[in-house]
Amino acid sequence: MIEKGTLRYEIERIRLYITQALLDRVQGKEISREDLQIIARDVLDMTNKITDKSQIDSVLDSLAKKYPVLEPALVKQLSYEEDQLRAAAASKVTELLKQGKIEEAGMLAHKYNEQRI
Amino acid sequence: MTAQAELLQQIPAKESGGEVQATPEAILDSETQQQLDATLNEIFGGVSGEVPEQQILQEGKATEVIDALARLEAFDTAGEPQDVSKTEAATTSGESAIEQEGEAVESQAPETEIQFMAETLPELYEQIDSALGSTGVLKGTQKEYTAAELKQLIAEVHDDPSRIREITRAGGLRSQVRRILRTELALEGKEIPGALKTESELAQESNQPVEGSGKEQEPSNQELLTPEQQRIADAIKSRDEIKVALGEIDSDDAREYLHDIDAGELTSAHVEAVRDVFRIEVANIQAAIAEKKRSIELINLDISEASVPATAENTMAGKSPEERAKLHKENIAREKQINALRQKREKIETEIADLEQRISKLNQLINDAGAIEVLRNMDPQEVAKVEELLVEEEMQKAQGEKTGEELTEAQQEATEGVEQTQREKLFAEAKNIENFTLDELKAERARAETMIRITEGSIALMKMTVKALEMASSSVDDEAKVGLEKGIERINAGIDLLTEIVEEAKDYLDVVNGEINRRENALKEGEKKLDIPAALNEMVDRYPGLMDILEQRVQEGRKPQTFLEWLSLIFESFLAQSSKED
Repeated sequence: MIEKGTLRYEIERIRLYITQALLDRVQGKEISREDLQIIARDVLDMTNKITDKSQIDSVLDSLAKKYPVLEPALVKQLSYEEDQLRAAAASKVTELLKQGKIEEAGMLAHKYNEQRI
Repeated sequence: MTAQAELLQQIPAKESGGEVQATPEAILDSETQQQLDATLNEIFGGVSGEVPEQQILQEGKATEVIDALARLEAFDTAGEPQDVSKTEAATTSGESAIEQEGEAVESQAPETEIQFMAETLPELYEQIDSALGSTGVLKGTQKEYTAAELKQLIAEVHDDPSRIREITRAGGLRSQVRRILRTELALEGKEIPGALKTESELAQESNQPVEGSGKEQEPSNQELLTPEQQRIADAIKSRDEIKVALGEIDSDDAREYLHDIDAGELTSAHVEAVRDVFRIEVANIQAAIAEKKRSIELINLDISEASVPATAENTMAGKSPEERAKLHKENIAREKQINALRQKREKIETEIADLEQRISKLNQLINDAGAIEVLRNMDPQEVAKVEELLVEEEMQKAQGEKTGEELTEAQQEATEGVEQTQREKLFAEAKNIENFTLDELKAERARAETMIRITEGSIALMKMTVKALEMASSSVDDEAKVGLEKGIERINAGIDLLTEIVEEAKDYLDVVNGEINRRENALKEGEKKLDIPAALNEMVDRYPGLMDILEQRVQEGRKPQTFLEWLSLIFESFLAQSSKED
C-alpha cells in the first residue's frame, strides 16, 4: 500500500495522469503501438529517477515537451497544484474565522485572490 | 467520475461479441487493442464497482497500467504462446520486471530483473529457487514473497485454478502459471476452466454454442407454445414492462395503477388511464430535453467566449519569463474551464440520449398498454402456466452452466453495488448544506428526490426478481433450489438495505427542505436581500454597512455562486468598507 503524501504516491499520481492522456490517444486512434511503448518506457525510466517531490514538475514538463501528447497530463498536474493551494487557503481562512480573527482571514482571502489574478 | 471509470472509459469500444471492431483507420491493430483491453480488465478485474482515485494510487495501479503499455507487444494476456524474443527485448529495454507491481520507485527496490519463463511447474519452482534463494524476496503490490511462499501459493492454485488472481504479476509469474496449467489440462484432455481462459475465448463462448460438447440444443419453451399461449406470453412481457415503467414514474396515479395491476384489478378505463400517465411522462421528458438543449446552447456560447484565438498578445513568442509564466497560468485556467464546460456538455448530451430512449420506450408501451386487459380476459390458470414457463426459460437463459447460487451471488453483487452507489451519490455533499446557496439547495433537493425515486425503482425491480426466483425454485432440482433460496435471502437483505437508505434519504430531504423554507421565508420577510450562505451570515451581521456594499457589488454584476466566492466578495467589501472608514 503506497502511503498518501509520500514521494511514491506523488509519482503514482503523475503516472495516472500520463496513463489517462495516453489512453485518450489510444481511444482516438491517434497513436501507434510503437509510439505508445516508447513513451511508456521513457515515462517509467524518467519517473524512476525522481528522488524528490520538487523534481516532479520539471520531469513532467520535460516529458510534455518531448511528447506533446502528454501535455494534458502536465495541465492536470498544474491544475491539481492550484486546487491544493485553493483548498489550503480556504481551510486556513475558515480556521482563522473560527478563531474570530476576521481581519487576518480577510487579508489572507484577499492575498489569495490577488495571487490568482 | 473516479479514476478507474475514467481509465476504463478509454478502452476502445467493443462489439457485442467482445471483439474490438477492426477499422482500416485504426492504428492499433485489433489484437493489440484486445491485449490492452484484457490487461486493463485484469488490473482492475479484482475489484468491483468504481475505485476512487486514492485507492488506485495507493495500490500502484497506474504504474501497472503504464508498465503494461510499455510491454504491450510482449504481454501474455492469458497463456497464449509467448514470443520469447519479444519478452527478452522488453526486459532488456530498461524496465524492471519488479516495476510492473509499482514498486520500483522505492530506492531500496531490488535492481535485479526477474522474468520467469518455464514450460512446467518443476521448472518454474527451480527458477524461483535460483532467482530468490532461501532469503530473497519477490516484491508484489501488496506484499513480498519468499520462494517457499510462492511455491506454496502456486501449488494451491494448481489445485484450485479459480484462485489464479492471487498470484502476483511480478516477473510475469501469473501468466506463466496460467500457461503451464492450461498446457497440463490440455494434455490431460480436460476442459479449461473459466479462470484460465482468455478474454476472446470467453467472449466467443458467450456468443456461440460449443460444438461437439455433447449437448443437444433443445427447443426453447417459447417455441413450444401454442399461438394462444404465445399471445399470453407477449401480453405478460408487455405487462411487466409497463409495471417497471410505472414504478419509475413519480406520480400518485402511477403508484395507484401499479398497485391495481399487481392486484389484477384493471378495467378498460384503467388501460386508457395508464396510457395517459405515460403520455404525461413523455410530455414532461420532452420539456426536460428542451431545457437541456437550451443549456447546451449556453455552454456552447461560454466555450466560444473562453476559446481565445492565438494573437500576438497571447502567444509566448517575445515574452519575458514573468509574462510567459503568467500566460501559461492563464492558458491552463482557460483550458481547465473549457474542459469543464465540455464535460458538462457531454454529460447533458448523454442525459438527453437516455431521455430520448425512454420516450421511445414509453411510446411503445402506450401502444402495448392493451396487454393488461388482454390478460384480464384470459383464463387465469393458463396465464399462470405461461408465466411459469417464461420465468423458467429466463432462468435457464441467465443460468447457463451456473448454479442457482452463483447466479444469485451475481445478483447480490449487483445489489451491493447499487446500494453503495446510491448511498455515495446521495450523501456525498450532505454535510455542507449550510454553505449552499438557495439555487444549490434546490438542485440538491431535486437530486435527492431523483435518487429516492431511482432507489425505490430498484427496490421494485428487486422484489420482482425475488418473485421470479421464487417461481423458478418450484421447477428446479433440490440442489439448485437451495442455491436459489439462499439467493432470495440475499436479495431480500439487499431490499432491506435499500429501504433503509431510502428512509435516510427522506430524512435528509426533510433537512434540505427545511433549510430551503428557512431561506425563502427570510428572503420574503426582507430580512436578507442576498442569498448568502448561512455560515457567513453572522460575519456580515457583525459589520453594519457591509450589506450595503455587498448589495452594491451584486448590482454591479458580481454573481458569487460558491461558498468561497461569497467569502471573497464579503472580504473584498469588508476591505472596501475599512478603507472608506480610514
